[in-house]
Amino acid sequence: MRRLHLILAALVVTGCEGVITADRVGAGGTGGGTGSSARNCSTARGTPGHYTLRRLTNQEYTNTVQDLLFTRQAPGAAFQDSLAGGSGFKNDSKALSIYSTLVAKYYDTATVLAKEVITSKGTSGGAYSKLVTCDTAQSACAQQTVSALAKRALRRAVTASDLDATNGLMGVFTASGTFDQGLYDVIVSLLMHPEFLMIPVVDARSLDPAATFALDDYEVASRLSYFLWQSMPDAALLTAADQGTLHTPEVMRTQVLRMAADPRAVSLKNVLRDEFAELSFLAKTDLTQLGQTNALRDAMIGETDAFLADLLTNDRSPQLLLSSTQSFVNKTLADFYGLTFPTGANPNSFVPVTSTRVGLGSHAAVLTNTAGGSATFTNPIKRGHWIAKKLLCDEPPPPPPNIPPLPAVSQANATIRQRLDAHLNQPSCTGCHVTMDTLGLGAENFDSFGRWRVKYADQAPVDSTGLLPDGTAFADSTAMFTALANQTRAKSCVAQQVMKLALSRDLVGVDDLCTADAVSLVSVTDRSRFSDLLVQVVTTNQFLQQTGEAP
Amino acid sequence: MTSYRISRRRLLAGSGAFMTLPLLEALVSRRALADGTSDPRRLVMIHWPNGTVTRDNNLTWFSAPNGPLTAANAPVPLQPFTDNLSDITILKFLTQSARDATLRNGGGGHGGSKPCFFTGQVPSNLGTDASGITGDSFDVMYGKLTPNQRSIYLANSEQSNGDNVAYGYELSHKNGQKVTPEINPVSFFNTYFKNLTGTVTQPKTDYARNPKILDVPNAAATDLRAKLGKDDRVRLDAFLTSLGELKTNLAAPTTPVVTCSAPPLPAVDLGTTNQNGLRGKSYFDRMKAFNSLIAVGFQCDLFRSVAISFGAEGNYTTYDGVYPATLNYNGASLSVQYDHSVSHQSPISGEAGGYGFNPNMTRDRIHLSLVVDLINKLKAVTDPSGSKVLDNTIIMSGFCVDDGQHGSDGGTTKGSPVLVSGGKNFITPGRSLDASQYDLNDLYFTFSGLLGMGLANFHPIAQSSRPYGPLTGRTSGSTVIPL
Repeated sequence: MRRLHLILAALVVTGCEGVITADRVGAGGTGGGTGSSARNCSTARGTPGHYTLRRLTNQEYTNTVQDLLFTRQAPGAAFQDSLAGGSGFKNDSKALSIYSTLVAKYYDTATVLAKEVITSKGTSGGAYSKLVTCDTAQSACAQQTVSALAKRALRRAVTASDLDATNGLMGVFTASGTFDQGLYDVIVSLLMHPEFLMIPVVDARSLDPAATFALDDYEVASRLSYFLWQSMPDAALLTAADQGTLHTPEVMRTQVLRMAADPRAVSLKNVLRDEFAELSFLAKTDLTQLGQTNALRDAMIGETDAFLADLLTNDRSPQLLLSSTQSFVNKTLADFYGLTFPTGANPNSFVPVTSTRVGLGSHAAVLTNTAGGSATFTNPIKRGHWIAKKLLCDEPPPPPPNIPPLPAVSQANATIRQRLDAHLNQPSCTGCHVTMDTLGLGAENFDSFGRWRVKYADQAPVDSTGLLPDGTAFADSTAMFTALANQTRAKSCVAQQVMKLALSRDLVGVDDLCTADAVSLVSVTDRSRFSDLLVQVVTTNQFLQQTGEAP
Repeated sequence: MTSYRISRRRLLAGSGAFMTLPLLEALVSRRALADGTSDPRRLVMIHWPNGTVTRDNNLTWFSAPNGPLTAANAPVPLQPFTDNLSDITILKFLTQSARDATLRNGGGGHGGSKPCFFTGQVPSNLGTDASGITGDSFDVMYGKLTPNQRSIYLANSEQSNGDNVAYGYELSHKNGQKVTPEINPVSFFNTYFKNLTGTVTQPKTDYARNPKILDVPNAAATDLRAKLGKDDRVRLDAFLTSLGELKTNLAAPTTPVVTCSAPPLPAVDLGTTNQNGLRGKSYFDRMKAFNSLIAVGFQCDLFRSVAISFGAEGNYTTYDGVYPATLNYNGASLSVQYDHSVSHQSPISGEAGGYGFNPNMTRDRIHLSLVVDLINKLKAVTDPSGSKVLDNTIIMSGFCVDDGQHGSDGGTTKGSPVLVSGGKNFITPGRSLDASQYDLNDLYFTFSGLLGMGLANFHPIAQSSRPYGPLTGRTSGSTVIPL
C-alpha cells in the first residue's frame, strides 16, 4: 500500500505528458504509450469516487443463498439476465436496476428456500441443523438463531433495532407461533431485506459530496468477498471485521491470499472468462451452423478456462494475460491448432503446450467470438473493438446514427484492408476506426475460428502488418500481440479491468486511472503474481474509501 | 461478406436491450400482479406420438414471422383456431439434444425415442420393456413438489387391438420406472372425482399470515434511504415501490371460494365401449372427457401436474363425419387412411407411404383441436382469486419422434414444433418465437423457474459433460427462454 502511494505520488509529481485519449493506437504512430503512462496525473488527488448502491447480480444471489442457507439450488439463473454495464462486468452498480418482477421473484424464491430449510429438519447435515444449533425448547434459542442468521445475511453486526421484538426480526419470529414457522418467516424476511439484496456503504458523511470516508470493516468484508467469490463474507472475514482489523494492509493481504486459494475463487475465474473475455455468448453459439462442431466450441472455451484457472490457481503473473505463449489444449483443440497432443495424456483434459499464440487475445475462443459470425470472413472491426476495449481499455464511443455501409467490393478495393481503408477516408469514421481497424487487421492471420493462416481462401496473401503508436511495426498477428504485451497502457489496462470488477463500477477521471497506472507498475510485471495485483487493488483508496453524495 | 454496419449496430441494440428489458419486465409484472400470483400454478405436458407435418423443406408450422400470431399470419395448422391464437406460442427450431443423441445411438422410433422427451435423458435401453431412464420425468418432478405430491398420466390410447402399449407407457417416469397411464375416463373419474365435495379457498400467502415478513424489510429500506444520497435513493425508491406492489398483491384475498362437487360421469368407458367400431369418435370423446375432468381437477386443486399421450399408430381410425368441417384442409378425405396422425405417411403424394399433404394437415388440426379443447375448458373455470385457471396453467405440447415422415429431416429435431399455451399470469403466449438458440432442456428449466421448482438446471448429466465450469449453455438446461 505504501509502495503504491509512493508510485502514485511519483506519477503526480512527474506529470506524465499527454491526456487520456491522446495516444490512440494506430494514430499514425504519433501517440504516446512510450514506456510510462501517457496520462496526465498531475491533477490526481487520490479521491476514491462514489459507488452507487447496487443489488446482487444473479450469480451473486445464487452464490450467497448457497453459502447462507446451504442450498444447492441456483435460483439466480432463473431471474431476468442483466447485461454488463459500462465497466464491462455484470456487477457494475450502474447497470443493476431493481424492478417489480425481480422483487416478486425474490419473494417467491425466498419462500422456496425457506421451505427447503425447514423441510431439512431431522436430516443429518441438513441446512436446519446448521442454522439451529441450540435447543429450541430453550427460550434463548430463538434469538440466538435469528441473531446468528441475521449477521450472516446482512453481512454486519446485528443491532438491537434489527432484533426488536416488535418492529424487528424477533417481531417477525414471535408473530408466527412455532419455532419452525418463526424461522421460516425470518428467513423470508431476511431474504427480502435491502441489506441482503443490496450492498450499501453508509457513513455519517454519506450525504456530504465533499467528504471522503473509509468503509467500515464489514463493508470492506463484503467488497472483498463479492470481488473474489461473488458471494457473502465467510466467518473468517466477519470475525476480522468484528475485531476491527480488516482494513489494515497486513490483514488485507492475509485475507486476499486466503480467499484466492479458496475453492470459491473459481467464481473470479468464471467472471474473467464470461465477462472479461466475453465468452458467455460463444457458449450459446451453435458452431455446427458454421460448419464446425460444438465439441470444438467447448474445447475453445475450455482453453481459456484452463488458462485462467492456471493463472489464478498457480498465482502466476497477471502479465500473462497479455504475453503467455502457452496454449491449453485438449486433443480436439490440439488437432485444430495443428499442435501435437502429448502422448499418453487424457484427450479430454487441457494440457499446456508451447505455441506461437500470444496472450488471451489470440485464444481461439476470443477470435471466434469476435469474428462476426461468418465461417468465411472475419470482422476486423469487431476484433479490433474487443482488443481496444479489453486489452487497451480504449473503448471507442458508440457509433453515430446513419453509418454508411462499407464500400462495395470492387477491383479498386477487393481485400478487406482496402475496403476498410476506403471507409477510413470518410472523416466521420476515422476517429474511432483508425484504432479498431489497425488492431483488427493486425489479427487477420487468424481465420474465423482462430486458425493461423497466411493466405485467404482465394489464395490472396494475408496482410496483417501495422504500426503501433509507439512506432513499433509489426509484421504479423503474433508480432502485434507480442508488441501489445509490452505496451504500458496494456499493462495498466489489466489493472483497470481488475479494478472495475473490484469496485463494481467503471473507472472515471484521473484519480481512478492514475491509481490503476500505479497499481500496474507494481503488480503487472513479469515477476509479479496475480495475488500481488489483487492485494494492490484492494488496498487502494478506491477500494477502501468512498466519496459522499449530494443529498 | 459480413456487414460491419450491422455488427456495429448490434452494439447499440445491446445497449437498447439493457435499457428496455427492465421496463418490459415491469409491464409484465403489473399484469401478473393484478391477477394474483398466489393461485396454484399447473402444468400440462402433451405428447403427439406420431408427430406433425414437419419437414425441413416444408416448415408449415413455422411460417409465421417472430412476433404475435394473428389471423393474417397464422400457420396453416392454426388457421381454424383464430379465437385461440392469443393463447398459443409456437416455439420454432427448438433443439431436443437428448432426442438427437438418441437418434445417433440408433434409436428413433416412436417408443424408443419417446423416453427422452419428458426427461431430457438419452435412454440407455430403447426396447419397449425398459427405457433406461433415471429419476423422474419433468411432470413427476413437478408433481412431487405440489401439496399432495400427485402427478397424473393419461393416455388416449388403447393397450390392445393394435395399439402398441409402449407408445403410451414411455413418457412419464417416476424413480426411473415407467408410469402406467390412465386410459379410461370413467376409471379416472372413479379415482378422483366420484366423491368430490367441499370448497377451495385461496391459500393465505405468507405475507398475509404474517405481514411483518415484509414490513421489516420495508422499514429497513426506508431507514437506509434517509442515510444515502440521491443516486442511491433512486435504487431504494425502486425497491420500495416494488415492495409496495408485492405487498398489495400478497394481501389477504377478498375473493370467494370455489365450490367443488362431483362432475358428470364421462360417457366414454374404455372398459365397455367397443373401440373398434367407432374409433374416430371415441378418440375424440375420450380426450374431451379427460379434458373436462382435468379442468375440474385443477379448479379443485386435486392435482397440479398432468401428462398426456395422444393416441399412437395402429388405430385403424377414420375421421370423416367425426371432426368439424372447419378443421378440414383443402378437401382432404380421412375415410380410408389408417393412422390418426401422420406416422409413416409422407406429406408429399407419391412418396413411399405418401397419402398427401392435405389429409396429414387435417390430422394435425384434429389433434390441435384437442389441445384447444383443453385450453377452452381451462379458460372457462376460475381460481379463487377470480383468475382463469388457464392463466395459471402452462400447457406444453410437442413430440419426440423422427422415423417415418413426421419428424424433421436429417436426424435432428429442428423442424419439430413445440407449443406453449396458457399461463398468461406469468408468460406471454400468442407468439411465434424463434427458439433456435435453445434446447428442450432449457424449456424445462424455464418451466421450473415459472413453477417455483428451484432447479439449478435441468438434466445435469449433460452439463457435466462440459470441460469447464458452470457456464450456461444450450444443452445444460440452464438458460431461461423468454416465453
